[in-house]
Amino acid sequence: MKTTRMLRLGRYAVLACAMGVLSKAPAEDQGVAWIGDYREGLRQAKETGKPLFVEFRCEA
Amino acid sequence: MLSPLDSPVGKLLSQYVCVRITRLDDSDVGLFDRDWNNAIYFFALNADEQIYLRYGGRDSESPDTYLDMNSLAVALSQGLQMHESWRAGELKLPERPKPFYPREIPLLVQRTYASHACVECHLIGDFQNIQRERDGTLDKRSQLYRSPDIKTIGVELDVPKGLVVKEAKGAVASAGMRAGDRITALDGTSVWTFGDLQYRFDKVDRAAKQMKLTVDRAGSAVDLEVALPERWWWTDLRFRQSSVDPRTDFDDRPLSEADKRRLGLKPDGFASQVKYVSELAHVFKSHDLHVGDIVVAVDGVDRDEDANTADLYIKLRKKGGDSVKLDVLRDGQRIQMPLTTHVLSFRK
Repeated sequence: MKTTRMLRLGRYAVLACAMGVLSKAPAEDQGVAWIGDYREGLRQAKETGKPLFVEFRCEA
Repeated sequence: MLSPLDSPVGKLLSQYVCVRITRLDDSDVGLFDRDWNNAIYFFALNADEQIYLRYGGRDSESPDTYLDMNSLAVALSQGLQMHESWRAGELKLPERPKPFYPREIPLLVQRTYASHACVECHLIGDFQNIQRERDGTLDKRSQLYRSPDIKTIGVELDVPKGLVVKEAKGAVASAGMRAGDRITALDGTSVWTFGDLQYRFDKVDRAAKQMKLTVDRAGSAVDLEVALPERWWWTDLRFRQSSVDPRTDFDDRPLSEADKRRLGLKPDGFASQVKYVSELAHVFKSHDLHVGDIVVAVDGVDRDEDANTADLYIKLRKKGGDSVKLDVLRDGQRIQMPLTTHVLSFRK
């Protein structure tokens, strides 16, 4: 039971890393830049015509 | 590191303005409404704050059952297509929901803002429910038992493919769903991801007896009338950090009708057999139930329109901290014993 749970958590950690959950701050990220300020994101979306992709993450 | 820019997901994400929010203090939780017991959740929307789709959601078994890089790519592609349609004036979207901020929840202000603690996701949902319980407006079937499990109605998804059905069983199979169908709408509202489907399923009236699922089958839309089974809304609450869940420190299973008849109990009663007793029962001195005991009544009540077990009856009808009297069958003898519930106050 515990082993299964640990495997699941491990799998989640890997997936989370891949999805950016455990990534460093945007400035250090070598991939897509993430903005930490929603209002700024909204401003950029209006300026560029791009859609927004908003990630919420915290302790559930 | 996030997906590299030259990866499939990276290429898709680079076509969005990506925002990461880790504190909800000043977030519009009315706009970004969701089940607050998800550690990670995504929204695709436009600059007018109209939501295209959601990505996320979980079941009680695991937080990552429905998280997958391929289904994320499917969702990101869909969001981009919707955005192009919206820019071309071809996509009609619902109005932006009314703003609602965490500071509008009095208990959150008193307990979390006042101590300068982080407004965590689970606190939003839990303090909303505590407030509702105090105000007498809490509907536990929909607000405690959030996000019903689609497996309860028989939907097994091919997760990497988004809403493509891997296997249809139970209620949806009876309604005509087949493996390979792609779910496209619930009660007429379009769904694009598991997050959308779970959010819409959560909005179904808990008293509903049926709902409509629309699927895409080889390019044709097919409507399926799904007969909802009893207690389709029930989920395992153990992963939730809820303070409106009166913890009983035991698990039980409903007795079969044959067993009820044999024991001279009401066939429509919620008599249930104890299958597990938590160590916390001893720590909190909650009760003295043993595995194998049969709980036949709570405070003299032995049937309920929603509950099929004593534990569910207590969760639905009692408040955390309430004490009740149980009627219990043990070794052929009917005995009475007290049970005191308690609540979780995780990081509150």
